[in-house]
Amino acid sequence: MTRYGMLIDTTRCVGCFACRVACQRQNSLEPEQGFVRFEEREHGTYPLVSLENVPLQCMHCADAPCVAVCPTGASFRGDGGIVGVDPGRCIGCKYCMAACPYRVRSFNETSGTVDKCRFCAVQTLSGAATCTCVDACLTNARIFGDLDDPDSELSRAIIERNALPIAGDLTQVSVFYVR
Amino acid sequence: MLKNISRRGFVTGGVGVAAAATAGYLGLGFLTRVNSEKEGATDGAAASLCNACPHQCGYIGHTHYGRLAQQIALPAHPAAAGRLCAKGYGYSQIAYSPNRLTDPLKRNANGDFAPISWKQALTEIAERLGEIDPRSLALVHSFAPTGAWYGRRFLEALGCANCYADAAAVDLSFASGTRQALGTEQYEADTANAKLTVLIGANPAEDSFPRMLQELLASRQKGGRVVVIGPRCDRSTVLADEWVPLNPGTELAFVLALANVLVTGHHYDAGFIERWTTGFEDWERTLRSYGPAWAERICGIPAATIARLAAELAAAMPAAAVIGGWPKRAGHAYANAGETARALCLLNTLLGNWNQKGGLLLCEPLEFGALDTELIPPIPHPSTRRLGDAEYPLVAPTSGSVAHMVRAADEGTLAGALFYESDPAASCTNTAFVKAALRKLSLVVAIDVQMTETALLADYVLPETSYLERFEIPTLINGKAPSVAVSTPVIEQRHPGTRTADGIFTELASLCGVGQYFDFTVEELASAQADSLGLSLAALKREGIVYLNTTGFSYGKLPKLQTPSGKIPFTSDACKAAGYGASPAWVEPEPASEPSADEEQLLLVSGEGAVSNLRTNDIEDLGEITRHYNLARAHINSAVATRLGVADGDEVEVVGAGVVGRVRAKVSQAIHPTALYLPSGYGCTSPSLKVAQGVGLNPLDFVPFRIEPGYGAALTQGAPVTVRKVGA
Repeated sequence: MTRYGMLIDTTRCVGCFACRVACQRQNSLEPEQGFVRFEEREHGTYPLVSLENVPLQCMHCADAPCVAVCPTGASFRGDGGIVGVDPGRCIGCKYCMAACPYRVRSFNETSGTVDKCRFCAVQTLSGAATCTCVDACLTNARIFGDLDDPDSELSRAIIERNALPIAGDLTQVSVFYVR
Repeated sequence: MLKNISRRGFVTGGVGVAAAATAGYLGLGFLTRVNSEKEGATDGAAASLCNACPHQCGYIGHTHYGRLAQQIALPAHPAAAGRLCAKGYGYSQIAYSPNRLTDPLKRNANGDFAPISWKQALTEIAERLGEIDPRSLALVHSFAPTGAWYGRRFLEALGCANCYADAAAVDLSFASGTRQALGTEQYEADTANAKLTVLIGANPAEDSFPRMLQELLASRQKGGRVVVIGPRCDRSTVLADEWVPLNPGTELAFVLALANVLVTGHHYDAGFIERWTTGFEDWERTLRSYGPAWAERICGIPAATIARLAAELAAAMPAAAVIGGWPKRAGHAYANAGETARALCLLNTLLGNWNQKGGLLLCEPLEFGALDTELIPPIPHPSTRRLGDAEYPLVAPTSGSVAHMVRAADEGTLAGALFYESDPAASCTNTAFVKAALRKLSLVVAIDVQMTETALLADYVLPETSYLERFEIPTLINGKAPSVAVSTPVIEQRHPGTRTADGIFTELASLCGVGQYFDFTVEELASAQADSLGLSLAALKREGIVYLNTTGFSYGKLPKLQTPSGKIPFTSDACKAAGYGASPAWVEPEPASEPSADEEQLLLVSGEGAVSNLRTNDIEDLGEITRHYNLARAHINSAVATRLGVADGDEVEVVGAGVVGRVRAKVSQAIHPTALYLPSGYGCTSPSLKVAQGVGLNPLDFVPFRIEPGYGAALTQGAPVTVRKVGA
């Protein structure tokens, strides 16, 4: 089985927003709809300071709270472990937005439905080895691949760089962070 | 001048070969191709150059039903290196902006703008130009090649030498100081191979230089170290091993002290200096006064840190460099900025790193070959010098002093000005001064895609087609990968009332009686330029970028230098004549400001943020990021904020140059205690720019109008300001 996942190396993320805007343009999103959300932290005290940028997006959880609470079955976990939203079934109740512990779902005011990172499902399920945010990243901070393939670049990098879920084993995520 | 240029072969990555360009894009290109096969004429692709900043990164714009659907950066483009920044993705949307200019506008008697026809606009402009002595006209143009070429030619045809490049606002001191040391205005860094890179003020993460970020990563992966020097721990410091803060405007003291340590310890490349330089002894003597302890008192960097960094440079040389990057921020826009740039070149010369692996690279300059004179007849050179060149003899000839042009407008030497995609009322120097100066002119014409601050002051505003809709003549790209790039229309023209620069200037020329110099189309011009390089325009348009069959540089070999001696001079007669040391010595960053008796003063520093500059500030996607993440805030050091009673997120009043502005504060450990940082690209007042208007402050509102002696740059950094909490 293929189970898609991603590694995000925050030690390389300069917080430039290129991934977010590339994703928005690629997916024709509204300006308010960012599938990538940033948390920024300063560490240390002047003059010994460092910055950390943490891009957050749908973690494509195996134990996805959004899927569990969705009253219409619009949120689902599909092929490749990609969590999706079926806009035809979504009634815009926003339960899923409240349930998501990572606050990475956004509401499309035009369509009245909820949307979020799709792991570029159209192209990845067609065999492409990448997502828009991975391609766009100015500092190669992202790796996309198959978590179930122990030889994939992603799987090897997760082990070599000790990448971890952002919030432990909260929801069995598919996105791993180097911090 | 290059001779016998021929095609080395097209670089993959163009329209025709997007699918095969790189593994990274295989999927995207493949899908696009499949779609276009399936859907026939619904999909298209064309090569474009981003117009958001002077890097002009190349990409292929893919369309779906005529609308831009995808931007795939060209791996071969030297600045892009296969990536676009957030501004680049965002700025493509300018074509679709509801806030664009769509018809020519004329200011009427009560100061409002009314739409008029192109015929009326151009006829009236030509008439009024005819009433002005050409010597008191000026043009300020952007980096977009067609408008710059046609605009300059139009003014020359009128007999006017006053053409200025708007990029001067940021780069002028650096280009000018570098020219005094190297005879050229630019150089490249071989950062990917460097063992140690010291960045002074360069911020590729926010100034958005994709290739430089890639090179910094490559260097680090091979064990190289990166050190960032500057008043702000900016986003680029994520890729650095160390951030060393310093007092704003004192970069020169740091550079001189590094040189002092290298020279006094004999840690320099004596062989290189012997072979390639003149006047070393003079700088050696000058440097004696500038030890690390002296520098610590000025720049605040501990003497031990300066000595350690100098030792690290000595150990890593020649695969080490101290660089400013683009925009050349090394202490830029202070009164010592030109001399800082010159000292920086000479410090690197001590390291013997020119055209060494991991060092800095001096590349062969590129020029188009001679164009067909039957088609494009030469124009006699204007008999007078450009305004400002005599007053500022060190100014880079490619730019000229825009700040002096503003002063000439204020003093009445200038009567009329044309602004092509340039916005000095927001970007040059004290905004109130510029606006008042431009109001004194009898004719102001602005050509732009949107209603800029400068356009608001114009008598006529001419709406331009956006870059996504238009063809641009080829651009030469100097540097490591000598190449030529071209921008072609990705989408159809959206507003029938807009025109391109070539059309506007050609018709104006005809109406002004100099049409004989413009009896060719822009395609014919572009074709002649391509021909002069031995290229076919059709192929260039298809690929977007073509590498020229010439080596930009060779390791171990310097190109012929355009300095008086043909070598790198440690001394400059021109600098001495302009009142500086023959070899670089300490220069104060500011004329001493009046200390405020009762309020703590901070020094205002600015620079582009990650998503905003003056072009991208009205783009919805980017404006939303600014709003959501509060990116327009003023950054203030935590300890200072505590003293002033300012908490994170508080609204504060910034006071400087007699102007009071309100903005939210970002209280931060990541900024020098003497500095206040305001991101540039904000503070728009133009009512038609509905996304940008009223967001943040323009730092140039708070700086006094001053010009760098000799070099002619506007001094826009380090102005003293006070900050207080609103309502306190």
